[in-house]
Amino acid sequence: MSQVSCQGCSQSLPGGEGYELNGMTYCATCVQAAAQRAKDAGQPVQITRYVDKSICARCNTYIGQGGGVSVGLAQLCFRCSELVKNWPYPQWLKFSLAALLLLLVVALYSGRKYFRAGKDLYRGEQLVEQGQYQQALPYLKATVKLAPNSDKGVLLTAKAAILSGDLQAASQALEGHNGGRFENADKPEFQEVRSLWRNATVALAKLEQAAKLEAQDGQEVEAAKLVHEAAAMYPQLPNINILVDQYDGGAAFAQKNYDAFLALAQKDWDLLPSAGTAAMRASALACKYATTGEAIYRQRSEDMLTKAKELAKGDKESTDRLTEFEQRNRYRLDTRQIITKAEYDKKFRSGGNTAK
Amino acid sequence: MFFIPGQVIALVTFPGVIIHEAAHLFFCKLFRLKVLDVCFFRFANPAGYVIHEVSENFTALFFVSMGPFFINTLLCVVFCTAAFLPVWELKVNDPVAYFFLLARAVDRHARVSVHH
Repeated sequence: MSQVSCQGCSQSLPGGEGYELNGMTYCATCVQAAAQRAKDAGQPVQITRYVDKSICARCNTYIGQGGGVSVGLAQLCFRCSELVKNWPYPQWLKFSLAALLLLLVVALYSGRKYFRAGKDLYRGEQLVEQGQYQQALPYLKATVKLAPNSDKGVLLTAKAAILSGDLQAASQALEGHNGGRFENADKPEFQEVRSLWRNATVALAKLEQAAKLEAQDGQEVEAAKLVHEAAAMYPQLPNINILVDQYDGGAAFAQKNYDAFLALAQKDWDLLPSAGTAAMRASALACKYATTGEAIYRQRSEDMLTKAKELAKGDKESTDRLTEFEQRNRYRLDTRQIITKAEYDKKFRSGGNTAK
Repeated sequence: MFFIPGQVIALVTFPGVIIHEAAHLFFCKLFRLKVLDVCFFRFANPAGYVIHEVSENFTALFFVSMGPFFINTLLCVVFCTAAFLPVWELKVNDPVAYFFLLARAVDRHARVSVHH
């Protein structure tokens, strides 16, 4: 290391320990006194560390006094001065960045399915917020198919499925998610779906119980009450309003209120023309014929039964049920006697379990 | 709670350190500041540095200081683009999930530093 001489005390000291003030070199002690004198004389006071300008500040190469290139306070050799003017990016950095970007492109390309699923999830969420559960379900099902462990996707799917009456889809989505386990059971979304699911399953249990009661004579009112409870708990169940009317019709039949029975049968037929509603209407019209004797009711009952048979074509279960019902309806029209299915079965058959 | 030494964090998140220093260097070059030395990563404190000439240009110093904030944040967003949906929202197991870790490492160093 080069030695310098202090202009204050004339002592020789290593260049690294020297200071410069107004072009003069000092040691650490003398520079303070010199600074005070300069200040008193009104001269500028800017103390800097001594820089040995005979060696390159970067690579310590000897460049001699006045050699090299000045960069700020430092003196650099020509090679270093070129380097600092345009510091290159290392090759490894360029290659790493290129490789990373290439990987990113591959990841984005292979991840297209996730973007589609994300888009479906977003669209499904929007539709659920708008209350369009039926329309949301296909989007959400597509998301859950790819991402069965997505809490958000599964909970939205379950909600949309329950609220559109598709309990099977809700069950599949929930069971496919870590066996029905969720990260945070306190989340409002989870609580909401749990509440909906409980209501739906309790409602279905009530409907099942109502179906058993309805098969027994004298339990029609109790069965209708259960169906009303189920409808209140799970109003989104498809055709629940028609089911309520059918059970109310059964209760009206049991109470011999045939006008109410006919009104409900007519309403259901208008809402959903099917083999079932046509048969119910035919039954109500036959009851009216039996009580009034007006031929118009008989004619209309027979017409409705014909329509019911047409609508049941291709559906073996409905056809079998209609075949059984037709015999009882014929008996009602021919004898003008209104008896229940159980009474009819007891009288003419060994047993059965179809509708009134 | 337990203490994790900064050097260990820097080691685990080394891609973020490299990008942080590269961001300083990028803006030094952009504003034609002379760069005296660069270290992209080392197992010491600081984990990396860029030494450049003193400048009175406020804009240059602003961008050199803020460089990692801009570049690291941008790259974090870009890497997250690939990983956010599958990892965060859809919770699927896929190799692209590693981009999420990379994004986290890069984001860890998306901060302003005046001692470059």
